Amino acid sequence: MTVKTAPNRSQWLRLLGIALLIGTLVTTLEILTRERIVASQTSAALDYLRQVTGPDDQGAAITFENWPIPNRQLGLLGLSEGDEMHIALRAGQPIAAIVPSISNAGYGGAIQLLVGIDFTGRIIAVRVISHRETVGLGDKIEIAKSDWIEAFSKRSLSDPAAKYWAVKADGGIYDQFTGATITPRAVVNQVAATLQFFADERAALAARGTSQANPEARE
Amino acid sequence: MNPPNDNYSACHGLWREHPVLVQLLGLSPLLAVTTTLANALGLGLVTLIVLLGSSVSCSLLRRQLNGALHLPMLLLIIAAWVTCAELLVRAYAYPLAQALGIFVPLIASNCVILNRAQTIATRHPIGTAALDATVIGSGFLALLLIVGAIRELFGRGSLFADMHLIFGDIARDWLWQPFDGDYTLLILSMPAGAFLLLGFLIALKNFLDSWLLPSSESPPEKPIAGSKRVRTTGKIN
Ligand SMILES: Cc1cc2nc3c(=O)[nH]c(=O)nc-3n(C[C@H](O)[C@H](O)[C@H](O)COP(=O)(O)O)c2cc1C
Repeated sequence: MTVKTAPNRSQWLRLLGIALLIGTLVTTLEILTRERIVASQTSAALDYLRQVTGPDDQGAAITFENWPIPNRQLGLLGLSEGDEMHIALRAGQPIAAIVPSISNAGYGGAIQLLVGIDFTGRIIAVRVISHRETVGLGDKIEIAKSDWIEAFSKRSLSDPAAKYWAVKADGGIYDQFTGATITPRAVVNQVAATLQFFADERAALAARGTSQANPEARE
Repeated sequence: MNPPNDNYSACHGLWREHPVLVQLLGLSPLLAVTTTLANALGLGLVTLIVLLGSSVSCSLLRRQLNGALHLPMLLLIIAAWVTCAELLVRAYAYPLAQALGIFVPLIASNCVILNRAQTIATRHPIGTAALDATVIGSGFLALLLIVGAIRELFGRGSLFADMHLIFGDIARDWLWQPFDGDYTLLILSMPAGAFLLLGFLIALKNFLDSWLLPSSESPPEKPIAGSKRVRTTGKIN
């Protein structure tokens, strides 16, 4: 085998040739599939948004907009700069905020949540977007595995009172799982933090919604 | 130039030189994604396609793929196929891409693929390379399916969960849950359980070998040129 000799110029050129050929092919495919991948991602994200905004019962179509999250709140939500929240609007009026929120207190690492909150500050629904909790123990936070996560529906920062916003093991009202307290604790605390965020920002969000819906109303 | 190896016989890849059961290659995807049959099927199919693509291209380019730089060239080709596969899975089966996560891009690090490119594809004409890739890929897929089925059935008490990720909405009601309620056997859901299970499967294969092929009749071992593997469960060279 020629393996032991040092590479000569023609071998480097061949490597370069193959790299160029492959680079071209992969780039072409990337361009061809880009649109479809973005479409798939958006439709998957929309599926989640619909799940956390609830059924569209009042006829008028719900649209979604991305609004910025103030930098001072990023820490509370476990997000990084540039992350946005989604606002559901009906006839131009904001009706719900869908806030991404990440807990780093999971057993297996980050737990990514999407929390849907209506403008009275009540939770519509919470969904787990991704997590690395143990299969069979911590994964009951997924709606596909258990309806545990539905316990948050209709809850708000005052219902239950702050000291009961915890798993039962910590004196709160939310169930933990048998043999797995870390995962539900992380989720409950993160949902509470997300409600706190919304309470802080609600007025600003509502004001932005009003000025956006009828810009002339301010005159 | 490496001379073609005339001792080559494709069907050995299914049993006597099975990439996982005998050569112990490609263990990490096997242990990590086989928690359900659906995941196993998804990853097995993508791996099969990548293996086929990279073997065929390596065979086509085999006159260029030698010398001191042949390894980076092979890796480039394999990585290109993996990237293409990932783009296509994300474009046309986005939920499957989400379920398999990092393990689609990690196919690039599956040694089975590099091993076949090095030992077979760059030394044989395209027909042989394609046949070899198909056989090896199917053997890998079959083992993933066996491990996935056992882990899903006895680990989570279900079978055919999540099949809609691959077959679309019609597969949503294929789910079969033979045990009642909350049956789970945690160890099988975890990589450690998969590792134990694999050990039992290898033992079973060795048992079948000794039973089916009494040692006096066992065929002469055929060396695989260029193989430097030391960690094997049988005699492959
Ligand atoms: C292999 C292994 C995986 C575990 N995975 C989780 C998990 O995903 N989520 C969790 O809350 N606890 C998990 N646990 C259990 C935690 O270590 C901890 O014991 C438990 O959360 C405490 O709950 P308890 O107060 O009800 O005993 C796991 C334990 C082991 C040994």
